[in-house]
Amino acid sequence: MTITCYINNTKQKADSNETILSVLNRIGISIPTLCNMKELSPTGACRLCVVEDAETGELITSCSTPVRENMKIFTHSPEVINARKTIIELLLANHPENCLYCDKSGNCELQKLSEDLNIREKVFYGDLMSRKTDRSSPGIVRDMSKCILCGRCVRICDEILGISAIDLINRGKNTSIETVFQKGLFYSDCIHCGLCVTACPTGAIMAKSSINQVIEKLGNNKTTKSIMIPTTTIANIAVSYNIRKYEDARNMLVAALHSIGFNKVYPMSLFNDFFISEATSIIQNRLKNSPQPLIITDCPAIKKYIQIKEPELVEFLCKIPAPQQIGAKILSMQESTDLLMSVSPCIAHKYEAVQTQNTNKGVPEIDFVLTSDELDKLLKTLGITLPFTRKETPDNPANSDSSAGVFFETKHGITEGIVRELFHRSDLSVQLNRIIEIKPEKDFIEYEFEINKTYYSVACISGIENLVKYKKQILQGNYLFVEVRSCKSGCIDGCGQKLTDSQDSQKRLRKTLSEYDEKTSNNTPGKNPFIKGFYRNNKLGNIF
Amino acid sequence: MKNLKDKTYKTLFIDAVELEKAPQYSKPVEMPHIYVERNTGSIVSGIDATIQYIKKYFDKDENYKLIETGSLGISSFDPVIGIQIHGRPLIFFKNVTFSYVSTILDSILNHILPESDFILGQISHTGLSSWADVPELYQLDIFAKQNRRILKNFGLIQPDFIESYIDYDGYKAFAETITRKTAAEVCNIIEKSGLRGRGGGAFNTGKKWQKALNTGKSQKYFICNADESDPGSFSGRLLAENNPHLVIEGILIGAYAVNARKAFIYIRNTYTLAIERLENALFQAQKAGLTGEDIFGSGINIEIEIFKGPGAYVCGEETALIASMEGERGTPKPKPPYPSEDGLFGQPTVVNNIETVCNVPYILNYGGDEFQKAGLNNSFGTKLFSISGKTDITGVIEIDLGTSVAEIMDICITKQRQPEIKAVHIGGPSGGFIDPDKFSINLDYETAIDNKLGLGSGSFLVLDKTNCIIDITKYFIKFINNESCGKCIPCREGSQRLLEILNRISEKPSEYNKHESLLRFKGVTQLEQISSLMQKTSLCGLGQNAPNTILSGLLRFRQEYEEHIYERQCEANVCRNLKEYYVVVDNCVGCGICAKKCPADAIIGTEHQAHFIIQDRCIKCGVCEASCKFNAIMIK
Amino acid sequence: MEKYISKLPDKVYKHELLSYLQEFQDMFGYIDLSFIEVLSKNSGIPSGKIFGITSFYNQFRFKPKGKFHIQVCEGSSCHVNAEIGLIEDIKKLIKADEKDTSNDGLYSLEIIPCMGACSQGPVISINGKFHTKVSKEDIKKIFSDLNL
Repeated sequence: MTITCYINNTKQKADSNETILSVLNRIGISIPTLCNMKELSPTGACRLCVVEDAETGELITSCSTPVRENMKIFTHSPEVINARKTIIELLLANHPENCLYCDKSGNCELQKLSEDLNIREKVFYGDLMSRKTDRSSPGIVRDMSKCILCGRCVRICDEILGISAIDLINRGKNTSIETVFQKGLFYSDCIHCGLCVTACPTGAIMAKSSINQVIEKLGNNKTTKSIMIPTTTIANIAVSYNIRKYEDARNMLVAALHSIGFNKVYPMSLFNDFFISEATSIIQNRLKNSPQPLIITDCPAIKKYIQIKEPELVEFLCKIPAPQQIGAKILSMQESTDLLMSVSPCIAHKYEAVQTQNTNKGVPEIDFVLTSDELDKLLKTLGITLPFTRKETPDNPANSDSSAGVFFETKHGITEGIVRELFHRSDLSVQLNRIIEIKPEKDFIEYEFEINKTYYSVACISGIENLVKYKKQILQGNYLFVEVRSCKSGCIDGCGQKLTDSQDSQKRLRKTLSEYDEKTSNNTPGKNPFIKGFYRNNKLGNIF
Repeated sequence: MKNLKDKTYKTLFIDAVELEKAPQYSKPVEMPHIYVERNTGSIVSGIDATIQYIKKYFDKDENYKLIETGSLGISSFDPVIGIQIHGRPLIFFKNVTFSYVSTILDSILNHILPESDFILGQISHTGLSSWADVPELYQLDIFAKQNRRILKNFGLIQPDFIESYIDYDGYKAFAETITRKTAAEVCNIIEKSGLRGRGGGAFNTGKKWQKALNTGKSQKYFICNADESDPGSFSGRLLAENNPHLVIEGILIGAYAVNARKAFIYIRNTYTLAIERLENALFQAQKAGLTGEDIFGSGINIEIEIFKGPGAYVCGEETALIASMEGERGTPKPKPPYPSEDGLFGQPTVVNNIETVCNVPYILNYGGDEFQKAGLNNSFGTKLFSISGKTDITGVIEIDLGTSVAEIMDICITKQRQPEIKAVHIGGPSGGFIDPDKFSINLDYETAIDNKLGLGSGSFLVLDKTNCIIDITKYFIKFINNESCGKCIPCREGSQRLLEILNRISEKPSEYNKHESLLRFKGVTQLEQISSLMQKTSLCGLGQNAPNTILSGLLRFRQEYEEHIYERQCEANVCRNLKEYYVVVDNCVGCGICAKKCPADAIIGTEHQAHFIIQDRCIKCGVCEASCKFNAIMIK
Repeated sequence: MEKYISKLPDKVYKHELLSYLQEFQDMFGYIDLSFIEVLSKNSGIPSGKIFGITSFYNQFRFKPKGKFHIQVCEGSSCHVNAEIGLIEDIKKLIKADEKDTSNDGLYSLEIIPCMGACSQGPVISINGKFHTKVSKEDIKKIFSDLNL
């Protein structure tokens, strides 16, 4: 039902089911919020979104109050501004004042709010909180003294994931956000998907940084050092620094990394090719008969999520390790290196690197995993300005990859690669640049294709929460396989890349990768010479 | 239904209960009847030992009857026992700890009155020869000045016997309601009576019921909130402990009126005795056919269950209470939706305070007009107040809404002592201070709000000159700070800041932080600023009402705040960290006068040498400073 | 304890959580992590969440009670009538904070909003035995008389 309301004395139409906040957002009035989250029900916790009901003079929360017929609202009356200001001042009273040293600085919502509300003086002086910092996880640091208890991370972990690795504990002044029995994230059910890292408005939950250790290691000239860089990181660099072509960005990055002391730089696309090859071999066996569902993912978060939340799906989970771990194994067969590092668009891979199956007598196969942002920072720290002046080609053995491996990390990339490779191995020509069209808004797509007059269908699920939502389809859909990834746009919107917050830059990232794909003739792993050579000496499916 | 209408209500139970078993004080007795008032307050005061000694006194002589009753309501009389012997009326004794049992029994069983210190009063009755020179219990000031509707017969009713309750016309209202009135009629009666929620919100109860009754959904819930747990309020516990059947009757009527088939009593887990007695009462009610299926052949089923609240003050707020019953953290939710539309398990739910519920049987027994004879403005009926603090009596009294503070003072404290009273704090954490100039104000909901107060659940804390307003304010804010659910920023952070500011005001500025002296002076303005924010923007009543204590204190005792801030002086000498006395070594001649005069033995030193003050022992009385002739004692 | 935990029904509903926790607390005096984990398994509610819910309420403690469980009333009447710093003294004496147990396992402290004996304040109770109108001096004596 359409109703009329008056906002700051102007007449507006609204739907009777709408909240005040949604009306205000629609007509372009911006209201500060901290606890409000799209897709989740309002909790009314932060009270920042208050507006004044002109009739009663009361302050009401716009996120939870529905509009009424003939309602009159002031969104920025002095009283409202004052209330918002005081709320932020209360939060700032005992917030650590070390913004200079905070990783979140410049990107922090609390900082921005106090700027927007013109808070330029400390009003209240509170006793500093003595909350602990949880460093147990390899990927996430939770500095609870910076926590403003907006509850976003808790709600994501609960309402979207259903994991609740962290929850609000205690009450009143002792309220904090903790894991079960305060044992630390590493010992909790945390799947390291990083959603809480993206959700946190302040620097309370951050990706763990290993830059300093890395710098120290790089300083040692006597050791050999290798690094693997994923294609999304390269694309991320390309978009950030306006480098138009993927290969330019890649080669600049290779040169830059060489110059700061890495002996070998390998793009991850090669190991993505291995992943596709391995997966295709498994699937080839299923072409005639696929009795059970098969879930294919390279995402460590999804794997842990299935273990914790959906244990009955574990048996359907494809056991191929993620490309970075494949890389570690293949590289160890090829040559010895003192320091092996990898870059990742998210923090889940930091966690993956220390999982028991990826360690050797407790020593991880990969020494450090950096996020894309960390790599960016590392380069800056070491005086590298991008775009880099020099370009160098990636090192052997990885100076050969396929465009499927490059595209692998985007949405539906696994499926795309596998289908291409299936076509290739069935002697069908792989001419189309892109088999599966990406629809950014869709969380679940099905794709049907034909090999030797038989039709097969596959499905792709994006977003962790959708695994549960489409569980029935996984189990009963009779798919050749199902691709699942925890981030909605594939790895390109991983929590380790600041850039991917906006839809626009995600689009540009994808474009950079597609353009490379369009002009590369090696468009499937089977056409990658290194892969071909490798499998001549090693049997498929046996190396892991 | 029709034939039910012709029956008098007691006959409805005739098969289930044995009414003649209930002892009545109005009838003459053969063997001595000893009434012992057992409730939490009296247990702490030692009633159990008293009972033991009574049993020991009679030893193997079984020619007596021990009757366990509930409390009269005045806990400062505890332990109370009543004795009725052959031919005489029931006489009550107060403060009977075990050592006095034999003395009292020795004399009374021989028809001799013991020392008057113990005598409380008697309930005379025709046909029984009264005790000479013993006042009538109900004519004692403390009872005569009350209007005991809910508390009627408290102290005589045996909480563990349904017969005893029925004997005093219990369950009459419910029996007549379920057999003769429709749910809508009951809602109407309650609405017209003007009964308002006694928990603090003061919303019209009947309207709430009508709203729930008129929602389309079939499954509805009725919850009686007996969680209480305000510091200094114990009326809810008194009701549940000493007359559980009254609570059950009120719930049954309420559940019937809103068409709820399931009702809950939400009670604090620490109220062990109350839970025990409610459980027993529910069992008896079930046996008597008052709960369960097809009550009195009406075809109506009502089930009552006890939910033990795991302990959080904020669960007094209805949405938080519902959240905790659903197995969640007890945090309030934004309203709307209101629980009467979308409550427990998403169903329409009515949540009423235990005191509200206990008013319901009275209204149905005597009618709304009679109910309205008590009260002032738009606040009708009576209200329980929990009297505590620096009073002569401590306990729960029931008075008309709109009674003035001065009248309550007359009940609980003697005229001679009244000038010593500095303030009264009313309404617990959501209430505020009243100074003696304002003792004339009437305690009804309207006047209370006009005076920046909330009646809350009716705590009445009396303070004298030895209490510091800032210290009491700190106490309540600390409570709020602890009990806030921690969800919304104004309440969680606001109360924390308020507490920090209050702490700063009541302590000496620390040297290492130069900001602090400035901050102390800013204190009052900041208290006002935060208070106003909390009132306007907090999510629930807990936070919205929390600043009342501060605002009323600033309004009526501003001078005390200013003394603390500017002069570092706490008149009550409670805030002892405001200053530190020290000896100026160069000036001290070691005469030792200060050491002799110090009441706390905090000054030491040998003769003719500089003395020293032990800070841990110092009570900051200032005697040393006044007695020193050499200006050797200074303040930091 | 293991025996009790093993008797837990296979299906626990959310609204029953608190009553199971209460039962466990009543029997063992504290909530053990293993119990939360089993509850989580049987109810399908993540253990982190159950911990969040449990820690919200006063009733539940996560350390076993001490040999002497001390309950102190902090009602307004007890506060008004108590000597300044009484509760702090007790905390110092037993070396334990609220909801906490001293390291030697001797004492545990619980602060109760009101014990219902406002005429007798300040009231403390040690293992169920009440001490009324206690002063700082009384406290010292009461504790020195405890049979350690």
